Amino acid sequence: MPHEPFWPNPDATFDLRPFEKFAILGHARFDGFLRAQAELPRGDYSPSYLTRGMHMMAASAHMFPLAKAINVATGKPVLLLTQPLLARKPDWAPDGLDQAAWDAAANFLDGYAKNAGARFMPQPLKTVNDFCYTDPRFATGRRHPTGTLPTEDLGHMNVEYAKIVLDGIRGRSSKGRTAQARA
Amino acid sequence: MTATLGSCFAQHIGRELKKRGYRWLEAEPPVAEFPQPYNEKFQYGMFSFRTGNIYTPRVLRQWLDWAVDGNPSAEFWYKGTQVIDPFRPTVQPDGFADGEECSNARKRTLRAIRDNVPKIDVLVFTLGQTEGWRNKASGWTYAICPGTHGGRFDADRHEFVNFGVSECLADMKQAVRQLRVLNPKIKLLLTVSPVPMVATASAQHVLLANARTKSVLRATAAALTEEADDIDYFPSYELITQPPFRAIFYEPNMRSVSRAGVDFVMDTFFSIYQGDGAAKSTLRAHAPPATMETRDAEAVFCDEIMLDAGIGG
Repeated sequence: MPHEPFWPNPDATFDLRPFEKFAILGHARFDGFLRAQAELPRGDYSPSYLTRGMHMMAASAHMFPLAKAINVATGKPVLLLTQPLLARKPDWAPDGLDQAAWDAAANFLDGYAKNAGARFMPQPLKTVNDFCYTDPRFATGRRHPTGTLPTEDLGHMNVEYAKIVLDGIRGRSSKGRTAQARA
Repeated sequence: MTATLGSCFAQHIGRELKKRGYRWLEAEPPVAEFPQPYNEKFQYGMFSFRTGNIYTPRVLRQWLDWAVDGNPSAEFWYKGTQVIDPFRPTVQPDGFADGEECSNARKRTLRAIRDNVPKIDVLVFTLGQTEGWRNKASGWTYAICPGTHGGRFDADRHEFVNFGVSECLADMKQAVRQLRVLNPKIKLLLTVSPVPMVATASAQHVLLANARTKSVLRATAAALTEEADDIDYFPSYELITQPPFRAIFYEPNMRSVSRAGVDFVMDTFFSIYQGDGAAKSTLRAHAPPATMETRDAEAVFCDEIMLDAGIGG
């Protein structure tokens, strides 16, 4: 069986017309937005620093112009998903977070997504612990195919995680574009 | 644990301490999930505390007096609709949203000083300037001239001051007293910035003003180190400016210190202090490197450059 190249051919062209909907995954990280929302009520940083930081990160995220281009070209629904959170509790949230910070970060990104004719779909909550990290049972914990990542891989998730995300995407389409991923 | 504060040249010392794996105090860390260039614009990681550049002994003393005794100034400036902290005018690009946010941020830095000075073994402070501007009524000294980056100069309210040796010495002694209130065991390592002044508000030519400023700061450092065993001096200034080095460590603008100059100073610094933060400096005979690199030194942010005509906003 021939080995599939790891990176897609950059010269490839795709016919987008047959597809009913599109999902763009992994073009941005969620943790910066989540942390900024969590830090706002704590008072350790100026609100200007935190809110400008969030807008700066969103404005430089490639997924929004990409979504807009796909939406304009096809008129089909586009869902935007961030990379999964690391499978380790962050040191800035030793007691975990509440859902308010999670929802605020998701709504912030959804605002940018709507401007691009798309919707933001947060990481399914059944894969998340304490609203701030991926449940370690979903982490592959294996070396990346390129062999460049450390042995303990906390950033790449397994097939079980992918199934839940796909279910979320399907659920979204069956409930309509405004339905939130409650999975 | 080593901490760094002072004028723009001090940024090199903190950066090199981090790069070479020393325990450098970062009392106000940024949101690490934000991109580093964004955090650097907010001057996170530039000094151990988010004070911005501290050029004069008076401003160092002021920060420490506020941290230890309380009652910090509540003054802020406007730059258009932006609110600017007169005591660290460039730490918040585009300014604070309002006076309350500015005041809260200043209080956070003062709290960070109070909470973290007890963790410091050696504070490296780089003396940079003797010229400053102060509020006539309150006596508080600003980081920069009102009107250059926010605020508006008003001769009825603001005045130029050029501190002399006795004032600098008194300010440094008070600063040391305040540091020891928080940490009786803290040691101080003084340096003088080799970066020359770009402008002067005195009536003198800038060459004369620069010689006066650096002489006053060097005399202040000498007096302090000769009086106290736990205050040392490291010759950043001499390693760049003195005749054996023939000004080869300056960039063509004859102000910025080249990458080779920074490396020379820092290599000498670590050759002396490696493993013995308390050692008195015994500068070894160093010849300038045979081949000089011409690449730029890593960017440092100097508020003082705004004093140069046409640059200040």
